[in-house]
Amino acid sequence: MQLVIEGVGKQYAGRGWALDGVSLTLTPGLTGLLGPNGAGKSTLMRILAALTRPTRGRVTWDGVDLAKDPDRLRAVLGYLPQDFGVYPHLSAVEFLEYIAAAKGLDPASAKRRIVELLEMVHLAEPRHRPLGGFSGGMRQRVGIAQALLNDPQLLIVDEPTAGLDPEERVRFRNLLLELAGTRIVLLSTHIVSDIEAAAERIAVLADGRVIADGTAEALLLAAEGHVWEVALPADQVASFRERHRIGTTQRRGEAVVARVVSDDAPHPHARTTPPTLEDAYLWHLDRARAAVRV
Amino acid sequence: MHLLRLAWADVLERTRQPGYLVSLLVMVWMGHGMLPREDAGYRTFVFNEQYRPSYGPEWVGTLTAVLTSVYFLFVGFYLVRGTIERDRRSGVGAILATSRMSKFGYLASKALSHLLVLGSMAVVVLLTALVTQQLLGEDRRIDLAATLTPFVMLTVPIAVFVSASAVFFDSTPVIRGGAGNIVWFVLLGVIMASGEMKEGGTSPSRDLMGAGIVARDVIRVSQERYPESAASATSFSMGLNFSERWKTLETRRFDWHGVDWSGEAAASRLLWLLVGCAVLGLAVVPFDRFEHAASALAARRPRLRLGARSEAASPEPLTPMRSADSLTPARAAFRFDALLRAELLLLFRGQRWWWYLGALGLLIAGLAAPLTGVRRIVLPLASFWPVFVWSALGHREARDEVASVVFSCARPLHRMLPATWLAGASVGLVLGATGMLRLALAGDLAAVAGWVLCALLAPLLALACGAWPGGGRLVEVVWLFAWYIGPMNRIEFADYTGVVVPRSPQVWLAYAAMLLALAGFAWWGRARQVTR
Ligand SMILES: Nc1ncnc2c1ncn2[C@@H]1O[C@H](COP(=O)(O)OP(=O)(O)O)[C@@H](O)[C@H]1O
Ligand SMILES: [Mg+2]
Repeated sequence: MQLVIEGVGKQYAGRGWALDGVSLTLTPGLTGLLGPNGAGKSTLMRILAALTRPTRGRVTWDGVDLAKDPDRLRAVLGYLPQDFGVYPHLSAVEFLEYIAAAKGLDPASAKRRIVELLEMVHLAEPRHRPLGGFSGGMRQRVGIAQALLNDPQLLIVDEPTAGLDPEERVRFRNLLLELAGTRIVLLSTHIVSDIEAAAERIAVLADGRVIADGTAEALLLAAEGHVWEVALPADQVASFRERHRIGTTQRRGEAVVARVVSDDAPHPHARTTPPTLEDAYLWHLDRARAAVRV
Repeated sequence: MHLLRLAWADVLERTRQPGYLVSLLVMVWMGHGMLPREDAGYRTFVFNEQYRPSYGPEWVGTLTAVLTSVYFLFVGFYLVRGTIERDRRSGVGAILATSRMSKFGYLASKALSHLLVLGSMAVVVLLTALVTQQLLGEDRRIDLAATLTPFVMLTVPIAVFVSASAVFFDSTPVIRGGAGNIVWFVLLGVIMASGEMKEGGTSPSRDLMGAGIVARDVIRVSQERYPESAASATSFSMGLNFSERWKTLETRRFDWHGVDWSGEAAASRLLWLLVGCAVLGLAVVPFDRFEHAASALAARRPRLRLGARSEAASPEPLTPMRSADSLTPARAAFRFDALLRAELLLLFRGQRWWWYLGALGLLIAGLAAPLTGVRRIVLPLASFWPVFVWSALGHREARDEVASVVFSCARPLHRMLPATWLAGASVGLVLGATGMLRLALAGDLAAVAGWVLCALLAPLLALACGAWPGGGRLVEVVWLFAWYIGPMNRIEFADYTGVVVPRSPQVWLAYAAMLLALAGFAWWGRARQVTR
């Protein structure tokens, strides 16, 4: 079971490249796709879901080219889009029954599975109410249930935690981890903490390119020695920020302690400090941008 | 200034859609068709069979101006309306609701943008008419003022009236949606019927289109030139009029120098212009300024709402999520009947009570009415009633933003497309069930087959057109237009119901070919929607 992405590029009409030479090989486990807004995460996921054709490159599922036979992959795919709607007049059960029928699932067993899935995402009670009245978080959970209907071997979730409360997020992350035992799970986000604890592998996407790919440890190791801490008087922070990339700031008495991502010491009194994943992410982004400028 | 900017942004948004270019091309085709040649099989102007003014600058302007008005009333209304609803759905409304925009300013900007869109169509007709006048060559004088004046006097008040009415309908609950389309159609019928020409024209307060003013003048000049045209009973019509006899009938032409737009004539047009403005002013009353849209937006866009707040509505206590492995296993076994059932549910759930009431009425009428009534009224109405149900089929995935969910399911073309189509067809079959029974009992199996073909054709047309932006609207307009020409005016080739006019084998063949072509287009369009 493997999904191979080879040199995939995507150019939207009249624009630059939204994706440029992306290559990744996905095997069972949870892979985090991390990148700022506009990096191309959703575009890549839509390509994997066969909803968008790549301009260049190809995607193969177990050796079968997606462009030639997309239904091989669709049959085992669960996809939670970033932005999606629902049919407002259908209830959650009816909507999921519609999707189940479209996915080609046996109606009788699908019916049971739908009720169980709705219990799982805590929508058992309102399951017969029209979706038009659901809140954003409730709809997001209907979306999660929909993606799991066919027990997908490949689960693609695009910024899935949007609209979920912190506890829901934790539960959802545990669910993904459980699923990732035997399935390929790809999760995109622009928030480091979403994948920090869960992803075995993190691919960082920026301006349509993969700029880092590996375990969290590997990302941290690469940023080692490039993260600094410096204590500044509060009134100097603003001017300092103009010259350096500040990650987080923390107030300590009169002074402000700033974490700075930089290859050289940003200040005579700066000391290096072990990077967090957030720091490492910023450092990789900075390095990629610097490389483009050169 | 604010108002103008808002209107201009709206116009840009609309003119950038491919559907707009198509609508202009349609205007070229129509503008040309409004001035039929001697040997054409139809007329757009008939006065006692054979009298008409020569195609000079005044008549070309006047005739096309009146016909453009008719088009705006019957089609333009449907083309322009819906922008307020779009703002409501897209969430722009919720943003505007929090701004300092005034109700009237917003509505006026929408009406202005409608007016500009309609105006651009009128300009295309005008230019086409000028070219056609030269091609016909009956009277090649060029007099721009004479050709333009009727547009200003006749079409502009109508365009204002239509724009304002579209805004009024869009801002009023109940008629805001599909119901409004039908209400407008009925309303037009009433207006047209009350404005029908009786001896020597109509009173200005009923003459919405100003056709009465034109008629009086044309008839007067005609009778001066051909006294015998006054002798016979007056028949006068402006609009589509099909007949084989036009191909051979010789027309008697006369020079006509246009309506004298002063005094009473101008005053009556001003009256209608003011009526249009009043309708716009009235729209402020029912308009809710998107008060309900704000909450709808929050529900639609998860990211705009704080997680904690949205979860407050969650009725259940938090418990650990159930393990995925304890679920009933998913078993792949595609069943077409299950999908068809789901499609039918989706289709019927979206309809309101009044739609069902109308459907029930049609079914009862199909049993109770005399057979000619079933053929000429009940079944044609039944082919019209579900037009908004059908037109949604092609674009509902985009409208409700479920495309990425449903089109990532396996075999979206082979499975879902036929199921959607058959679900749509069954609506027509159900609505015409009693009528078909009557026809079958009377032994007219050809008509029964005609109706079945009609039921298959309509959803396929929607699926074929719906894949393109604005396609759903196009289907509604084409269907209404064909409904007017075909079942209403009993023109064989346009009678898509297949029950009003008996079909010749050629027409059967043409319809069958159309079915195949549409199937191809529907497949192609859906493939485009699935993978962009
Ligand atoms: N349908 C589209 N048409 C044109 N440009 C698009 C479209 N979708 C995305 N883009 C552009 O492609 C880039 C990547 O977008 P996206 O894949 O949505 O990024 P992300 O999901 O990482 O935020 C952005 O610059 C965006 O503006
Ligand atoms: Mg995205």
